[in-house]
Amino acid sequence: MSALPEQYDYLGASSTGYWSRATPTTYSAEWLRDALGELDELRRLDNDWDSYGSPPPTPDAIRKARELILRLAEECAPTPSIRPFGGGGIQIESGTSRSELQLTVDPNGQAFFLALAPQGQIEEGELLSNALPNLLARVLLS
Amino acid sequence: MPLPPKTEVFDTSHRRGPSFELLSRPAARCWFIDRDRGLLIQVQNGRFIQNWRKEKATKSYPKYEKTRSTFSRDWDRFTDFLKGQRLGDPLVQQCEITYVNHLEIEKGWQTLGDLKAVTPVLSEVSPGRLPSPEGVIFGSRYVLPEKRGRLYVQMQSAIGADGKELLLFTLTARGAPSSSQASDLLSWFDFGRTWIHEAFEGFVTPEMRVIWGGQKSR
Repeated sequence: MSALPEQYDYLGASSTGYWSRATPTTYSAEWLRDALGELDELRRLDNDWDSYGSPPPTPDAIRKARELILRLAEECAPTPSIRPFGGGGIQIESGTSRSELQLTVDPNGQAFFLALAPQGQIEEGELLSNALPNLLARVLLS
Repeated sequence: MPLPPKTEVFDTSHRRGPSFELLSRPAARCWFIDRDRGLLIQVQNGRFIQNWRKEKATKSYPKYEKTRSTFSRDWDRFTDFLKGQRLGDPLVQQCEITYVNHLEIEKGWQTLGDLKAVTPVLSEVSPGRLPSPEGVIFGSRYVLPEKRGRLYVQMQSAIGADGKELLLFTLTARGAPSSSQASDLLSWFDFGRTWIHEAFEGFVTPEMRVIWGGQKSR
């Protein structure tokens, strides 16, 4: 692809990502606005909220967590619980009686997952960009 | 993953049944982004797409003439590349032009229950004792003159990547150009854009258009 204009950089292939997007509220989970409100509350936490010296979630963690919450809502995942995580991160959990998905966002905005599937298998690792819909389909919505 | 093909069909005698395809080529959609991070070229088998979005580094909403010019330049370079690789000239079956407008809350409207300041089509979404809606959606579709394509209009409530409430106003014109010549593609885009402009003027109140104009230039 060297013949393409010089002012473009090759960004990737087989992307399932979106260039710019908004989440329609008519099709997404009804808990979306409440979840975004809860996330907003976390920004107001005091330093040392856990008595171990943790700061409130960082702006990068908030941004990534918001993105994950919007994706969960688009996929109509079960109502998530959202809580601060030591060191400036955030943890999001969504699950059913048979399965559970735990997403942890670190202070740099990097996301990791721990999934307990209905048959008892455990998966964990870094949550790669755009991997959430497939993960949800396998773990929570199957 | 590649985007599926979308073709406007008018002659119902050519209505297609289920389609099956054996893929012997890689199913990929390649992204190329410009240095300002505001312009994207997407290339896949069957599609060549230019997207623009507002980025911090991008100073203002570009005028149609500018995006038309960058598309023309990049399309020419792409077809030159295909010729250079002896891949032949593309046969263009459809052209599409889409405007995605984010009408943000507190910029001309305050609640989903009171959208008459934005558009006449959603002016009465809380009739009688109904509360303000949790979500709204409106869509319409039009056949363009001489069946040169269709125009799709959709307005719906949404939440942006920054968590803010907005109205997502999407206008899409799609149809067949008269040939695969670059000049005919551009001519179709001009045609599609004229009807998108017509729809924007008709669907958005004059007051909101003033606010939107100010929002675009920032």
